[in-house]
Amino acid sequence: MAIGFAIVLTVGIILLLVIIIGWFVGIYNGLVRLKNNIKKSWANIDVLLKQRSDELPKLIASVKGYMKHEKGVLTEITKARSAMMNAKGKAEKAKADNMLTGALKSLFAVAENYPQLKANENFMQLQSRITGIENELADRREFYNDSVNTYNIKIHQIPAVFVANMLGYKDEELFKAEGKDREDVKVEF
Amino acid sequence: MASTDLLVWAVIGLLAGVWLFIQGFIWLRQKRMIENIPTSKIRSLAMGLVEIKAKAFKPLKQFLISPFQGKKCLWYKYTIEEYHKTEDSDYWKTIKMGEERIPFYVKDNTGTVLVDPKGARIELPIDYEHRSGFRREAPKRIATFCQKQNVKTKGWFFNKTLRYREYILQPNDQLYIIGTAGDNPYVEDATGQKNEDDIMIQKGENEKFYYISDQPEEDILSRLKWKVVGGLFGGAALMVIGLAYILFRAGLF
Repeated sequence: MAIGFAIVLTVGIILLLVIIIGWFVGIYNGLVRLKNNIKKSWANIDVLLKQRSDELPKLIASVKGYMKHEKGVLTEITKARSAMMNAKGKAEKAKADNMLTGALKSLFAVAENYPQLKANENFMQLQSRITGIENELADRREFYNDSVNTYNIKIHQIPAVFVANMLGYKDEELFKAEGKDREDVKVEF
Repeated sequence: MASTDLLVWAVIGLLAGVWLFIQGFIWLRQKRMIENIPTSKIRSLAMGLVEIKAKAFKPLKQFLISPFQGKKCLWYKYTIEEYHKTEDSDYWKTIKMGEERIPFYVKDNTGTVLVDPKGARIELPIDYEHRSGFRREAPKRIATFCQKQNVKTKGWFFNKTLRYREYILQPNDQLYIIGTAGDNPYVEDATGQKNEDDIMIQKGENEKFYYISDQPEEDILSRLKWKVVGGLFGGAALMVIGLAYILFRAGLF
């Protein structure tokens, strides 16, 4: 009788331990996956930032001839592009991206005043390409922020907080759009 | 119940417990995956495991026609079950089942992407159910289909008691999809006008989890939560009880 009971008890305890260990392994793997999601979603943003930067010289070349009186706008874009190329780390890149997005908004808004430029097929193609990248960037920024948000919440929840502390996982930064960039661009005629 | 029967049930319980226990961990992993992956917009899909919420749109080539209702659809599954009655219980036994799946497009407010449902676990509710029996004939379309499939709908004198169920996926059905975004084999590499043109959602080579449902994410997670609890604790309990009875019969208790 004692042997049977001992076997059942041992199996019961082992199963319980397997559940507890399995649960924690799941949490560990989940956190690693979340961390990797953030890295991956950042890399996906980075690819688009690079693509957009690569398109800018062509854009500037196509508008230069038409927008001789808009030197300020073009200089802004050139400055923002160099800031983007030299940016190191997420915070700097996010800042440069905000600057560039703002400058491009101004350029496309001002371009409305130049009918000849609007008739230029090359410019229209570049504008549509850059606007496409901007839209994709906005989605991927949202995706990145969702990934960061999920991760930041998870590492503060019990029981994940114990595993996160063990791994030394800290809060990740969101990719924020500055207040200035959320405003509409004012176009003066 | 005879004691031999009980022993058989104990062995079945033990094996079912092992299966449930393992399945519990698989469900736990799937639940965590769904929780941890943010929803992507189709326009900005990146390669790898993705989660999207989109509406079924159109097939890559031609619509399928569902066997029982004759509806245009993108996926269908059917079952034909026969009613059986014994002294102890009554039950429905599946005598024929089948499904057909084809690549189709889904769209959200940002774009359209191709989905190849091959290898996906598709969970959609029953769209149609009909029963035929003693004085109830199967509709003509179903009777013809059964004939083609060599399923007899009549016994010696009367109609058999059969249940016909059909599950279908139609355009405009809102879907939750978690799968792998990979190369679209139907277009040449990087020739698509938009990012999503070069992508197809499919079963991944490394990540095998591929799931399509018409339920909202919250409902899927809530169902998975109960499956995890039931699988892990129910499975463990079945194993312990089954083992205890086997040991009892072996005289070790």
